Amino acid sequence: MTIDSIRLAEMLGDALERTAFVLCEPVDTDEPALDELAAVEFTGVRAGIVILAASRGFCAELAAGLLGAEPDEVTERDGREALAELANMAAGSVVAALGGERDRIRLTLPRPASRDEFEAALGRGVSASLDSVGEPLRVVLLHAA
Amino acid sequence: MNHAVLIVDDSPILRRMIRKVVTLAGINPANIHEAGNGREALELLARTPIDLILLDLHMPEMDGESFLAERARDASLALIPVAIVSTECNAETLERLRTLGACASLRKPFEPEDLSRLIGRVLKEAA
Repeated sequence: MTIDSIRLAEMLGDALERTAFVLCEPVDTDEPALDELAAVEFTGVRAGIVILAASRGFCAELAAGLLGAEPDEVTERDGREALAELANMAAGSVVAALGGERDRIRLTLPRPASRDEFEAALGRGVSASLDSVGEPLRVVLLHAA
Repeated sequence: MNHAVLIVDDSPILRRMIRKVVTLAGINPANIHEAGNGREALELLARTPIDLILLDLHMPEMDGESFLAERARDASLALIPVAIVSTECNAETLERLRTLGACASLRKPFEPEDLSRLIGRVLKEAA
């Protein structure tokens, strides 16, 4: 299966809505949202990387949604942990779409990503931008065809 | 409910989220325990009676599959129900985990209601 920008945005939106009750709209923007970054790689029959970049406000919305709290009740650390877990879930959905139910594809643990890594992947991979109440989230998927 | 539940996941925020769901499923918060990997879970199980384990797979130090293998070798732990809560989707891997004793699985991302239903079902079946 091929994952295009629309499918990638749908996967992320689904994870956000189901687990954290965060509603997002796909947006058409190249504006960076690079306060916090998280990456999960996958290896095996298919190999690649999913990198998320989000504003601190988005991370706070996400953490609050996961915890059933208000955004001003969560810490920056909560936000970073929430983005890392979202990267894990997004990578899991990507792997499933790439045939992970049949083929053995392993996920790495979530890790922080750098701005340079994100921008380098952006030029070579599939990307999508989403927005939740004015707070941006961007995702890039880079994998061998 | 008077059951004790152990949440094993390396993500602190996901453990907190799952703890909320477990509480809403009727478990006394004092009976909800947490571990960040399989090794910590085994240490906790050595001193705490547990009725249900909610187990992530991809964790540092000792992953979920290694934990299940250790649990299967210990007669005092082997009967505790284990439900996998993970991004894992590979059919062969999930089957292997079932042979190691996992009785249910829930794929991330999940809705809190899905987890709540799973907890109720597994505890009912174990009663």
